[in-house]
Amino acid sequence: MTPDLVYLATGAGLGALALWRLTTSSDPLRRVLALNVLAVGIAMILLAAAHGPGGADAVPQAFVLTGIVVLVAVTAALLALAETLGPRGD
Amino acid sequence: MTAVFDILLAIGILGCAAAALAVRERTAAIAAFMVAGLLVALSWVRLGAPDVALAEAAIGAGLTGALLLRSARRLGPVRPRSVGWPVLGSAAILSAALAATLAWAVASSRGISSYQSLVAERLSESGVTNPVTAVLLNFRAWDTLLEIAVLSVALMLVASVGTARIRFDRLGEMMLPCARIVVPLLVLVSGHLLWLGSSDPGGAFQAGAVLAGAGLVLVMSGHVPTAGRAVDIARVVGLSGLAIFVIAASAAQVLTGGFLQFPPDVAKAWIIAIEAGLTLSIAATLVLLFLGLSRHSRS
Amino acid sequence: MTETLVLLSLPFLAALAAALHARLSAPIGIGATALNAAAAVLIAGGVLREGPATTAIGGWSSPLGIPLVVDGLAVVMLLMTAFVGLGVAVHAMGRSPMDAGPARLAQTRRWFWPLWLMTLGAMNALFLSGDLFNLYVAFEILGLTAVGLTALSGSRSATAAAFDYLIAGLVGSLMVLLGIAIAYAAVGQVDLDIIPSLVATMQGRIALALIVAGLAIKGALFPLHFWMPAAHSSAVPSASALLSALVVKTALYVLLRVSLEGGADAAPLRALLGAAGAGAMFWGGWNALRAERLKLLVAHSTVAQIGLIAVAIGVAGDGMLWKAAVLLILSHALAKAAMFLAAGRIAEELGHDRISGLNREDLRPGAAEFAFAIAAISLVGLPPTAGFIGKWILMEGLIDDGAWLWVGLILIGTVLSAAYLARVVSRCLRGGPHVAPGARRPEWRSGDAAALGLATGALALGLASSIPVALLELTPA
Repeated sequence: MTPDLVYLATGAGLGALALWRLTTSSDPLRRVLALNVLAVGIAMILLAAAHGPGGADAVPQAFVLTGIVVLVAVTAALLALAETLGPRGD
Repeated sequence: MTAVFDILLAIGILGCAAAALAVRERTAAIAAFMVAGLLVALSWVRLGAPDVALAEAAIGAGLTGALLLRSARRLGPVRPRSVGWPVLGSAAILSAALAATLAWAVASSRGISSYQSLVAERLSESGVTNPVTAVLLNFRAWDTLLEIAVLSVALMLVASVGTARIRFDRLGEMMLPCARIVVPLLVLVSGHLLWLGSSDPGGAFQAGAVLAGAGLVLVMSGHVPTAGRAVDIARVVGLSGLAIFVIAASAAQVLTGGFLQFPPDVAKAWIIAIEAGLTLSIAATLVLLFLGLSRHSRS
Repeated sequence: MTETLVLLSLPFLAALAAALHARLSAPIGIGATALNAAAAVLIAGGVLREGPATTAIGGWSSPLGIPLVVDGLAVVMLLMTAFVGLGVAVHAMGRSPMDAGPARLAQTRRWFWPLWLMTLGAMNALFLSGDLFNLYVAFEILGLTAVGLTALSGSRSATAAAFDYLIAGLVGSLMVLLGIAIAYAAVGQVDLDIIPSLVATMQGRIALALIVAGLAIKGALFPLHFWMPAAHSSAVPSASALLSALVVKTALYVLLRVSLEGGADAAPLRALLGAAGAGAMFWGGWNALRAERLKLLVAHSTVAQIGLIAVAIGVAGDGMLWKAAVLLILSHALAKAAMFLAAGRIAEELGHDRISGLNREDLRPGAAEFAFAIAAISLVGLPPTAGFIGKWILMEGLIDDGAWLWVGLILIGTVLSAAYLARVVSRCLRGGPHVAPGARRPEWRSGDAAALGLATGALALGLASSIPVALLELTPA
């Protein structure tokens, strides 16, 4: 088993966990958490695909870096809105 | 041997993520999420992506975790809602099937990256020797500019929604002397990461995140007020990143005739200058996103 | 090239200036929007004279760098954004209280301009981009600005709608990103030119399906439109107008590009779009018929109209019928912006927006009611509006192909839209014995001028539809 395959499976597993939580909970914070896990899973898939015998491809790495920064911005916005709304039922 | 390490790490990541999503107690769930993030960062080092690993550890795990903890306190506990086993079960089967399909699609793909050879071929023209920095600040600088725009919009949105300003409990006696050591250290690390970024793993995003950490320590130890002028200045610094990037892109067009086309022989100076501005701006933005801006802040 | 520089950098710089300079934000906003419109006209002139052009940003050619594609389709979308935006900006500049209480008003007015200008910058970037990942980042800017605009009114319902909108938008973005990751694995690069090779393999089709599903969420295409009626109906009028007229069109635009790039092999994708579109026409039309509030009716009408546009993209095949879809996008942008602004003015004069309460004796119909009626004519597709030209080209093509099922579906959709719009228009424009002799006229506001201007634009575009059609000829397909 090469590291690519192990981490590709990990990325897909993270995606599955996140999708499961996303479809079964309506608590705002848990949904934000699930979306963050989903994003990490996607990043992992991209990096696993970018990893080859000749080392890691730089362009997908840049994509993932951009994705991380975008995600923290969106997460901050989501949490600000959720806090303005206050507690809601699960 | 390394395969065993990879598999153990993968199990650790999936276990922590499952805990983060399944545990009802918020603080425990977020702690599990942060540990998962750190393990993920480790796995990305294994995948040969140290730049991204640094960013994930600092931003994905650290700052996102801090944001989530802040909200957890304000939102209170999860209100239990009973979801039947059939729903949970069918959701699990569907999610697993979908993920398996996607994993198959990637594993069976035979696409050969067009980028790898192009980056290697043209790296010498980019002005820097770290290929990821070359992509972020030169080959695909337009993506990065728009990404900074996303940060600016988030700042505007949080300010316009106007969440209540965060209040900190006074931290203990040890916090002040601790801050005196930690903050200069973080500033040094941040500067080092920024400088390193042109040749080794690092760059504006990692440096900015570390600097934001220093800012948060200062705020929490009471050294910096969370209202008035300090916030106004932080907002100007936060929004300045996009301004610097757009002005640089336009200035490059005036000089070379191409949008974002830096003069080739001094490209390194342009990149470092832009990155230095971005580091400060990213740090200020992240601190402000964490603090939230009061609805009644001065306009 | 100077025009492109203006389109790509001016809105962002103006947004920052407006964010930092609260007091000057309205003049900065209107000035930048006007300059942007001028640049869009110049760039359109350039394309008409010299044909489409692709430049490599930073001098790095695709796939390493990001291509900037200036062709007829992109330019038409830039013009639409520039001018509809200008109309809404005129409305926002006026003194009309934007559906918000006095305490909230300052905050609403303060942040409208920075958010709109960031929207404008992101839309310009999006329409000119020839790279999938770059499109994803532009969509992320738009996702946040759109949510910011939704939440501007500060009401609890708007904030709740904004949260749901952002969650839906993020799910859509992540699906697009996942699609890009799989596309990268499948073909090794992610510019828009790879779409034909994606269609050729199973893995590529999975990638494309994810991207299309993500876009369908962002474009509020039935049945993934669930977040949209609440968001569009609870925002302040100028924000609703921007969201409904412009923001959802970005996703439709990318869907159209994908369908065009995919060529004949993208037929299953188009079949899916057609089916979803037909569902949207009926679901949106049915809900608009049953809506009790005016803004909700207008929002559900957007669901139906997006459906019509999706049908047009879906049945267009790889032939030339797609131009009808673009004309429908244009006419919907103008008419829907006019309609939301008019609905805002009507609600302001009446103090409510219940459709049953639009019958009244003490208030004569004013400019807003008139603008609403013109916009309705364009949406239904009566001559000489742009909506008519779009539908006419579409129907003619379908009849030539003998696609009678689609002809029938579109006709039923048209009847539905006429029925729900008549609910409003018949009440609004009542004169004669129903209005008391001493009834007052509503005051004239700049919002009326904006609504009338946009509605007249929808009317005039029908007469001048040769301009967009000539531009669209200059799209390499």
